[in-house]
Amino acid sequence: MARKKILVVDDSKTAMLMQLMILRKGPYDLVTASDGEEGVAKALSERPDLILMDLVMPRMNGLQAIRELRRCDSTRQIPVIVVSTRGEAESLEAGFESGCNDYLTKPIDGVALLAKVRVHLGA
Amino acid sequence: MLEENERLRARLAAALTQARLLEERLNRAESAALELQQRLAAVEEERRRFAQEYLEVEQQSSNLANLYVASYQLHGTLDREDALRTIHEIVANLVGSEEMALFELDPDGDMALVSCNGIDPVPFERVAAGDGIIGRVAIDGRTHLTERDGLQGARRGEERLTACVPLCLAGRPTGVLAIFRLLPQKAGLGPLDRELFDLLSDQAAMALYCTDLHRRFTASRAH
Repeated sequence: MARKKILVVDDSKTAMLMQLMILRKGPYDLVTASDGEEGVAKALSERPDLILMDLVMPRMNGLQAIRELRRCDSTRQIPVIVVSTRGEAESLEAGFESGCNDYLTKPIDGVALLAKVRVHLGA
Repeated sequence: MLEENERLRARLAAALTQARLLEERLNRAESAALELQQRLAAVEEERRRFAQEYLEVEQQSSNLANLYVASYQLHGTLDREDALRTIHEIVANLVGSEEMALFELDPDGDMALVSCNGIDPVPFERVAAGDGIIGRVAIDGRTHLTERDGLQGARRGEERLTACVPLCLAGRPTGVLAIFRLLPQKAGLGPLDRELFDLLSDQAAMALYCTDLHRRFTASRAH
């Protein structure tokens, strides 16, 4: 069975490393980006099966990146899970309104992250 | 007539025997079904126990990953600004607070604010040794947890303190990391947070010391 590809977009090296360590336990190929603009570019070039997106990032924030992804035919259907410190109701609403499929707050719970990834990848 | 009667009696006897055999088979089948049900229940219980143990192992693995990431990031740089940024990221992403202040001991013995996030720095630019909770932690080198130790003796601005972690080198405080309000989604501190505080107490102090040494060494070579 072909391995699923996950794109992780986060400007924090600490958060990025944490997510990569958790995801490496699974049968996934991992691609990274450190801001929303790079995230959109990598999504277009790598065609991941799932995107984990931080919200507060330089150059292009997560909400802007998600809206951009939903505008493109080639990335419109890729599921996006927001992974953010922003846990207020307004942020959750904004995330889903912009087009995300799921939302996970930081600090990251490794068990919860893997469970959500499995749900959205059907693995 | 008699022959017919005998024949019928024989058939009846055979039927009764067959019925008795069938009843015995039925009883055996029911016993087997009951035994299978009991075995199934035992297997189900064992499956539930394994699933619970698996979750516990996954959680422990996740906790260890947190500690590894914190340590790796702290010692992955010789640049002081990177080290300070890493401490911010650990507190935000692994502990769950975007309000923090980092102090270092200055030559006068007071705590000088070197970095902060999400708070008004003015009340904290300089904290005298022994003044308030931050000043007390700077002297006694003991981590303060508000949920355990309360807010007695808090100075202005410390009302929202969640934790105060001494940064120690060779057992001597060299600085303090003050963590204020937790993110809304974080209910409170747990065992992993206390382990992260212990790690930060040693490793953040060491990281800042090493980056400072590196900066001075680099500067001296430039001259």
